Amino acid sequence: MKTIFMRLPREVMKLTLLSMAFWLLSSTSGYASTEERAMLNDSNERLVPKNDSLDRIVSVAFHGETLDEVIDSLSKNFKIKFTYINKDLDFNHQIYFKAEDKSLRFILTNIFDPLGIAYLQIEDQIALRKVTKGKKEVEVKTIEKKVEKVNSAQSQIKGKVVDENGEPLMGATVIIVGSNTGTTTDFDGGFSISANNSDQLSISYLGYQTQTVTITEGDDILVRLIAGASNLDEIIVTGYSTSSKRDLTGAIAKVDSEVLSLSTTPNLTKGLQGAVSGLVVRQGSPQPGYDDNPIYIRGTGSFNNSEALVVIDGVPDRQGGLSRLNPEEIESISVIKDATAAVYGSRSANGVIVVTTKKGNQGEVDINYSSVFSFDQPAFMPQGLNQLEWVTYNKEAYDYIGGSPDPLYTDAGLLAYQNGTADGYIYPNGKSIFEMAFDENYWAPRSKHNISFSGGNEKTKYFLSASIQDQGSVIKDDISKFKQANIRMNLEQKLTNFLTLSSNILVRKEDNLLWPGGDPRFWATPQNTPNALGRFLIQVYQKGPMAQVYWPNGSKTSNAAYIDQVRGEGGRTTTSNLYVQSNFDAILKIPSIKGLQFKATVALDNAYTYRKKLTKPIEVFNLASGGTDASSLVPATLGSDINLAQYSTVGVNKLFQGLLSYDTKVKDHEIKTLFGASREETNLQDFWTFRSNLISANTDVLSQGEFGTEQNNGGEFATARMNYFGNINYSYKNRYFLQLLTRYDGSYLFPKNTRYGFFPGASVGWVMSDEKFMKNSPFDFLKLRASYGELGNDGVPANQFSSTFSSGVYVLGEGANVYTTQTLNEARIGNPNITWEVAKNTDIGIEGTLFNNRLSFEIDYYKSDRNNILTRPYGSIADITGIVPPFENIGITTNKGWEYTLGYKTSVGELDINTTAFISTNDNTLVFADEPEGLDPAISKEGRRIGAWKYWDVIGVFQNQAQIDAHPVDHTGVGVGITRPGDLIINDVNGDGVINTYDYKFTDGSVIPKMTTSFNLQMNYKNFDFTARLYGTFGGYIDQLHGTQAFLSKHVYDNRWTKEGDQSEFGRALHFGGNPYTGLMIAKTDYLKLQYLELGYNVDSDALQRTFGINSIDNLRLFVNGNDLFYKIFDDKLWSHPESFTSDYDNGYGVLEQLPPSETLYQLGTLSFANQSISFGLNLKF
Amino acid sequence: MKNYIYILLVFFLFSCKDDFIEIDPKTELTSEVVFDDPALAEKAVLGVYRGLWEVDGFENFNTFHNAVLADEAVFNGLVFSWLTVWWEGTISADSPYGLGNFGGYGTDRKNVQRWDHLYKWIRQANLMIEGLTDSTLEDPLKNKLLGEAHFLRAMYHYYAWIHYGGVSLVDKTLTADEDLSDYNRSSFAQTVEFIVSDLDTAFNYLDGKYLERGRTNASAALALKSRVLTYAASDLYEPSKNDKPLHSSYEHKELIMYSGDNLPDVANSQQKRWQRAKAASLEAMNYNSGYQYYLSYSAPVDKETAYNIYNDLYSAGSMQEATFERVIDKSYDTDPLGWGSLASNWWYGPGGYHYGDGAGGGLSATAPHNEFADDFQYAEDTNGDGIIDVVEDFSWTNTTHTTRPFKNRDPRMEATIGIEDGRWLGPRYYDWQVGSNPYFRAVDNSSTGRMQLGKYEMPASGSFDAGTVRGLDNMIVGNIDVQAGYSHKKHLSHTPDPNLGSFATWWTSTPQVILRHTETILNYAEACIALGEEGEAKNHLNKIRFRAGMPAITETGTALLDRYITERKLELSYEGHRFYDVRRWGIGPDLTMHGVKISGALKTGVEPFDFYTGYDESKYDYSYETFPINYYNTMVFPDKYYFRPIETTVLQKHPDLIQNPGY
Repeated sequence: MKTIFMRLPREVMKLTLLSMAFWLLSSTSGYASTEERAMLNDSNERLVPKNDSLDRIVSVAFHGETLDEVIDSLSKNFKIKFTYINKDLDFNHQIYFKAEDKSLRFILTNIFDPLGIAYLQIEDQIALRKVTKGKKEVEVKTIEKKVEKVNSAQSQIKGKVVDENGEPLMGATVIIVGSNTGTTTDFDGGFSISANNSDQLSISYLGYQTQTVTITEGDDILVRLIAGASNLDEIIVTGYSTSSKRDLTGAIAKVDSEVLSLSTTPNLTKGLQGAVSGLVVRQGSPQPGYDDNPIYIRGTGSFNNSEALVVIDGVPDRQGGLSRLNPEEIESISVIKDATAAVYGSRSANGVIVVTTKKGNQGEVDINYSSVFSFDQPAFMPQGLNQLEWVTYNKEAYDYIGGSPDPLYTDAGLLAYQNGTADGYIYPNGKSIFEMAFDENYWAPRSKHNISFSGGNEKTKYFLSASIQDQGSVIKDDISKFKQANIRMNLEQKLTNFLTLSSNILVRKEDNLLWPGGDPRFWATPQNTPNALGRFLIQVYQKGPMAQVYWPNGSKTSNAAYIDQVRGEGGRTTTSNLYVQSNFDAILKIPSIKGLQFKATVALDNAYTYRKKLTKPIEVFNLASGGTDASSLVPATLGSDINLAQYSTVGVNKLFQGLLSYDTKVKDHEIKTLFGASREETNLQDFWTFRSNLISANTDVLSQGEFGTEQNNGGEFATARMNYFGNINYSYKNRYFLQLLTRYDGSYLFPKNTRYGFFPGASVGWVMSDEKFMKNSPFDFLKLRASYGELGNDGVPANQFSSTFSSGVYVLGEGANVYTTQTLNEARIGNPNITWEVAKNTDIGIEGTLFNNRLSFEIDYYKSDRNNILTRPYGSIADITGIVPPFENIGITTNKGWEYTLGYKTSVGELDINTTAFISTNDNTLVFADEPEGLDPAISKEGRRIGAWKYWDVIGVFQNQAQIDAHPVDHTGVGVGITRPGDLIINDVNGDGVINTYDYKFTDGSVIPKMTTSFNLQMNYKNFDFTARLYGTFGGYIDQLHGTQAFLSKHVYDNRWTKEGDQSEFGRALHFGGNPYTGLMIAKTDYLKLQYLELGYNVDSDALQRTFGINSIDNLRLFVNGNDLFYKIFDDKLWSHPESFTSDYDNGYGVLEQLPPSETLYQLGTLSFANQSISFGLNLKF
Repeated sequence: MKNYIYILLVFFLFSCKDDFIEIDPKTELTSEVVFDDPALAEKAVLGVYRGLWEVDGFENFNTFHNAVLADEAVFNGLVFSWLTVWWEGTISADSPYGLGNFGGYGTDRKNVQRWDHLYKWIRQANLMIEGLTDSTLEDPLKNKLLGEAHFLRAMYHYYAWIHYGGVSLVDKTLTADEDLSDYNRSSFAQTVEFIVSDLDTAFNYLDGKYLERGRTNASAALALKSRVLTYAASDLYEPSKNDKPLHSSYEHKELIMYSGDNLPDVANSQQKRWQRAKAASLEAMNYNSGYQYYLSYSAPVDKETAYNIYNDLYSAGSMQEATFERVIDKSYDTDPLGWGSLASNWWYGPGGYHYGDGAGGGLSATAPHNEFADDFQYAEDTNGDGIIDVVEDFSWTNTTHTTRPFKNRDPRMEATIGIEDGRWLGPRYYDWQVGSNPYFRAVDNSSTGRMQLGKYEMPASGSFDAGTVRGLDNMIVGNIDVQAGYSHKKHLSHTPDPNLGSFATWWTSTPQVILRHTETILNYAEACIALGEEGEAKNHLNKIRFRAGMPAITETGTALLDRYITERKLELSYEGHRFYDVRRWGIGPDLTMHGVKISGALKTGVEPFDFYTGYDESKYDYSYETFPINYYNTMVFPDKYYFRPIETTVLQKHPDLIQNPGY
């Protein structure tokens, strides 16, 4: 912790300078005007005629009109004069509201309350004011106010509305139940209304639970409102449209950008973890810039790509993805989990994540600045052995097979460590690579700064945001660095009343510095993503504590090369990714037909990657064989020349899309329809080139390499799709909902006859609580909904439908004329019938609120039957055919589970508490996966969980030779050589007397956990706010590394068998750490972690003004935040990080790679860890 | 109205044809275009050769590994579990390759000749045969390519046969739902006939055609036929000679030997098989006379000439005798499997020789041992005319032999393995000296560099303290103190090109020989001995002996057979033959391994000198001590090892395949 504070001052200074710059900016631009000036200069006034009562009974209906239009319409139709401050209101907000024969007051309340707008009748005007975050105070301080009194004929009832703390609530709505009469409270929370005795008054206020009180004679009424209201009115983005939560018929969850930014990690997807039920975000590499996390919605149901589709501002699968988006630019993220994703067609089966970026608001400029400084450290590092333990273990392993040729693992070696006389030459005694790399006192710094400007007028709206961030590696002295800068500009221009143009432009640059990676002796091809950390960890794990970095005389050992690499002494890899993403939209409202609108979109994305990988030799010393001291150290060079590889890609995505929508309402029938077509094309080209023998490592330009050493290569890849889609939403009485949706998708992946797929879906909803029979139920709101649909998945390599030849090389010639020539080989046999994978998804949900909306719940049951899964029929095609099988639509799986969301809000004194808990379960079954016909059911994967791990069931340890001799089961097939005392006794499951393939058992789970849970807590107390999340998963399994990349964990060491009588799960010491397939390396990943913790303090503008005389800042919030600070692991065997699942080594293996029965599990494993962080930050609002 | 026009306009945008969805593969060619284009057809046939990388190991890995799994070398490195499993006799159908992996390679990259790999390449050959037969190409190109495809189909079947016995014979491209009952295992005899028939076809197509090195040719077809028929005639496959109870009690003997009623007439007795083998070898010898290399001597050449011939034959450059070899382009990483496979010099080369790898030299990962080296006879030129006149079998108990055990030996020894004071072309980097100066790097650039093996005392000199110099037989990996007393030399590049950067020094540029003339002669001699034609056999063996500077063979009867076996072992060492020979002869490998500790003690009164420059009797007293190299409690060669197990995963998909005995 010391380090943190030592590092802070410089950063704080930088921050101060930055802040000063903004203040300067703000004062010169003169924008920092007072509220009064804002009112005078920027208020808008609309149409006059006064003295019209708000108690008039009228009818209105708005179907997605913008707030702007609604205000216009209200002022025209009902002759109301509105005053407001432009920047208070989001004029773009679409309003869905209808009321028949209701008081105007009721209508205004119900339109403006959900938007966070309070209205106040001031003489002949209606003032609209935004309610601030605390939801307790309306920002109107200087205007005189009078509450109109109505119906004076009746007795005047006076009252006061206060909050839980007795603070008056201004602007609360008071309505006589059963009548159209009502009023609002004044500045002091007071109201006065003409009512009859025993009338009931309904008092409502945004953010508070509505209360009903009965008037009793002579009493002034004091109403204490309790905080907490439902979120039913929040708007959720669905496929190509929006809906209120109330009207939603699909299983769609929304995540706000505030929630995303609670995870301070540079990867946006981490913030999604635990934010939504049914979403699994796995841990990527902690390597700066290479930390992509795979995201799964509701488990997995395919053998192919099972990751969710990401749609950003309407464009699917944008290059650069979700991970690097800046949360501060995001308005919201919708997670579409059920069949209502069918509108995204062929790529929707794994669920869809829809990202909407922020747009400008009408009004004066809003400036937000935020700055966060974070410090990272590995959160979960495996505990390995010390040198004595390592030698003890390995000596034991060698002794079983006749002793070691390496003096380290002999009696003398062991003695040296036992007596502490290891000399550092023959017997390493220095710090290992591990100790050099991971220092528990080292916290890697990270920072992020963001500024955004948002505003506009009736014609033009803008949102402009810029951010920079900077991340270092948690490995000490690592040169690795990640820097990102992005700028987004979202502009909207209303050209005429019926034509609006808008553009969203993102420019993002990611700069990555990394060491070359890998064994310094080997040159890895430059186009591969640098997998430096994975390779480094292999060395760290494999070599263990014996990999000392320095000889006792201070010179470097060859192990130092790995640390030297990390320090950049073996060269460097610099990568720049540049993304330019743009959307251009034209929205045309067809004036002659109300409700008809056409939207055309052109999206053009370019992605560029430039990489330079410079490798240079590292000088170390080796101990000459047989040498015993420093005099026998021999210099050696790892890598003999300086070489440079340069790699470049250019990716282009183009999307053209047209959307035609029509909304109408006839009496109780409301219809919203949408039809669209889109054309998508992508093209990716890459090439690399190489030269060796550069003159100097400082001149890392190809021309400095030796002529004649050049190599190069290149490739190209293209995709194209044509899609037609549409939906129809019908609702009756705003109570019964039906949605039909479909997509007709054509993809380059499939041949002409199967190219287009048809993906229909339907969903229904019923707001039961609106029914009369529910009137006296405890539910404030209750809705049933259900959906069913067919969705597609096409995650297979291209060209599977054609038989093709691909190229390779062969060598011909003789002597000096040897040359390499190109060859052709059959790449595959085409499958002319290849088509989509289809998932049939069903979802049934119930949601509601109770106890005045304090308690909310949502329960979903989902089931996905997936067939036509594209898989290679490895299992049934005999090897003698020699066929490299193409993908065929043959796999079948089912995937089902439950999702529970429970929320509770309450206030205790000034303390507001809001909690949410998510639990989701997932259970899947592999129904068909092309296994060999007549395969022994014991080893069949069908009927088991997808990705279940196979293992041999260990039932004991052979204690002595006599026991082995007497044991009836032949263990020679186990693969560790002759059976010896200390070897594991394996259950002969099929009883044939031999341990072999047919004796496997399967775990009942896979890396995808069966249960994911998170618990979220949010508290506000005065100016403090506190947020925390616990996140955990249960029922998952991981197959940790074994074989040569094994890690010798302390747990295995402590629990091994050493002598007769020992009871051990792991058996005797074995080379490379374990018995393959015994299941001992398979660990449960059950864990619980404190995902984040944030404490914030709001310094309000009054305080700033009073104390510092600063009047330009509306709000200053300071916060401290911790991420992944605490883990609870439930299985002692687990040494790898519970969230990592895939080998980071080489190409990595997909989560379901182990599926085909013929595939080996052997190389699967984990080579990763995760970071934890502490952050300090501030948000400024101007 | 105007508005409707807008809508129409926009919809027009999207109503265009969707041809743009058709994306032709960017980096692949559809099969229709391949066979009618001469250039493409040729490249497609060249593609079938690529399987040789896969099925016969990559570069020299397999031949060196085969040497360890036979009895030509000891694995000098750490204990790898694949080796443990192998030597402990626990290989099974589930675990046919041993567990763990070698140097980080995946399971399918080692211990080759996997059933699934072989048939993948057989399919490729069949594709060529069918595609070319239907193509519009014309002779001579068409026939040349057809000949190559037939040869390769025979070759891949040969690999399957020699490992598994009778195998599925696949003569067309099979479909995914093919009726497998037509492709169960054929008998041992039928498999031989199938291979021979393909080789005959190949020969007919290829006869008279020129093909570049790296491709096969008519001579190679005959040479492979000679090998196949020689192997087929061997004792293991003759029921009356195979004395292994596991084999004689095997239910499906016809799969692993000449057994049953349906034997072809030409092969229904071992006698006939030998006659057939002899005829095939003779035909190959005569046809391939252009590949003879110094085989026309009528008397032994002098030792120096013999050494030069063999050094040339085995070292960098072309293998003058080869009819078919895999060519290596060391300026290009031709490894189709990933990085590092070309590093044979690094893996197997002697320590201290190559310099770019950081370990101070090669790893000597496998090393020859006494049991192999001792087969090079003691051979002395007593009268100093350069001609060897005394020849005895070498013995470590004969003090005449052991005074300078590596001095008077069969000249092939110095050309084949690294021995004390053996010649060693090219620069050797002395990476270390000992003394207070921690290191001293010197280059011995003399072309007459000598191999230095064992340990030698160093005197104190100037600022240097006294110390020890270790020889090239050192084992660097993991600080393991084993010096076998020998190193590899055959196949390795003696003169790496330092301009090629760091990698060149790891690679050998020696082509990997698959078929060469001497093997055919040996095959011929073997058949002659089996047929009792000892004179003819000796006549041909002596051609080889004379080339090696060794006197004519005098043995007869079983002694002659033993001499033949030894000659074959020495001539064809480290070319992958021994692995198969010890099996087909039914003798199994020799499971004992010894090394020799070579020590050089400073003579008294030697003047201090700066660094060791080579074997020097004036400075040192040399001593030799043999010692057992044994990392294992157990080394066994169970009878089931004469044939490989068919892998469980193969059987699951093709359950009617019959498993080999013992698995």
